[in-house]
Amino acid sequence: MVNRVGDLVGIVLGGVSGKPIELEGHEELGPVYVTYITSAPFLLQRIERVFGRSVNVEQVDIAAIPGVIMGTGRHHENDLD
Amino acid sequence: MVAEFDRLERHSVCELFCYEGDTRGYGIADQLQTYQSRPNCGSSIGPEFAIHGADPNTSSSLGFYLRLGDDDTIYATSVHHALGPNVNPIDVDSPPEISIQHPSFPDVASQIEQIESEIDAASNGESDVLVPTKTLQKVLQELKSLDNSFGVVVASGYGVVQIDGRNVSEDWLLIEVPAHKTGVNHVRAITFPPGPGRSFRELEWTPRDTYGIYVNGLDDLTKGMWVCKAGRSTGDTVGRVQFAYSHCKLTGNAVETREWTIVSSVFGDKPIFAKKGILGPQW
Repeated sequence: MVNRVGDLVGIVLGGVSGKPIELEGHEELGPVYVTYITSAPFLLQRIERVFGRSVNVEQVDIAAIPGVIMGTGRHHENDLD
Repeated sequence: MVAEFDRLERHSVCELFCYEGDTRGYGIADQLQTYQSRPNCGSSIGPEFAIHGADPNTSSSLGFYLRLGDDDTIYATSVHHALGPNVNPIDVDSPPEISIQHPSFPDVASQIEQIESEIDAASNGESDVLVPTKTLQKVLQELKSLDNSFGVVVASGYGVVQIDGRNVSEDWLLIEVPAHKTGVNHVRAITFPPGPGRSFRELEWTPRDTYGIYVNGLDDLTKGMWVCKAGRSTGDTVGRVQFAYSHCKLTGNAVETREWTIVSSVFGDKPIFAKKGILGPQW
């Protein structure tokens, strides 16, 4: 899972299908489908702890790939509404 | 492709260009369930054999690729539950040999069944598929003889850990992948640059190519953040992180945990961000 600037931010733990659920403390949302996510930095920290070594997320050399569109800076969440 | 070529007027083939990989356009779920020589994020994986409790009938999605220290070996991530419901966390010092295949066994079986069904329909004159039966039989043969071994599990973590006094679920799997089968951290996604009347999908998501977004760094999740994922079950979806929910009760956990949460409305036609079984525990 990535954000709008291509940062790895997490992986999906799981989600519901079938009957929607109500979330305790968020009943105002009504019945909803939810997806729970594990944060990528947390996950990497756990792997580092087990292996005792630093963890490096693989990244391709984007500059070397023809046709890749880079950002123009319009990444603020305020752009969204 | 052969059928299309047969329709053309030609004398001989002058040049033939070959492409290694998956040539389809967008990251819908079906494509992530099919074989790619070097699978990227979200592709179908599962245990290859019923051994050490692993269940080959389990399908999950590939996470991302990483390296440990300066080592050249590349590892792929997924979730511990990708092995099935009856496997204990894998100890890095004595991992049982559990092989992972891509696509998962159920996804390959499903594709074989579909092609066999098309061949049967064609032989009964009931098929509206334009592909010649001979071609379907060839594809079937290739699918049955596919080398879909992907890697070997080296460690996993599963359970509940305390971070800053809060319970958080830990659920990860690390797979050692041979160099010639390693894909890249690229998330297939139908997202577009901004334009007039843009929707949440049409906002700028970069760096990207026609097919999706390249992983370009690492960041923490935050409330309100827009995120995009690819998975073998629901394909590519976009969502916004709503909050960290403190009352999660995941299957197998004895206590409530706090997890970042994306809420999908039950109204309207927006897709659910992820269904159970996308990548991880079901509940």
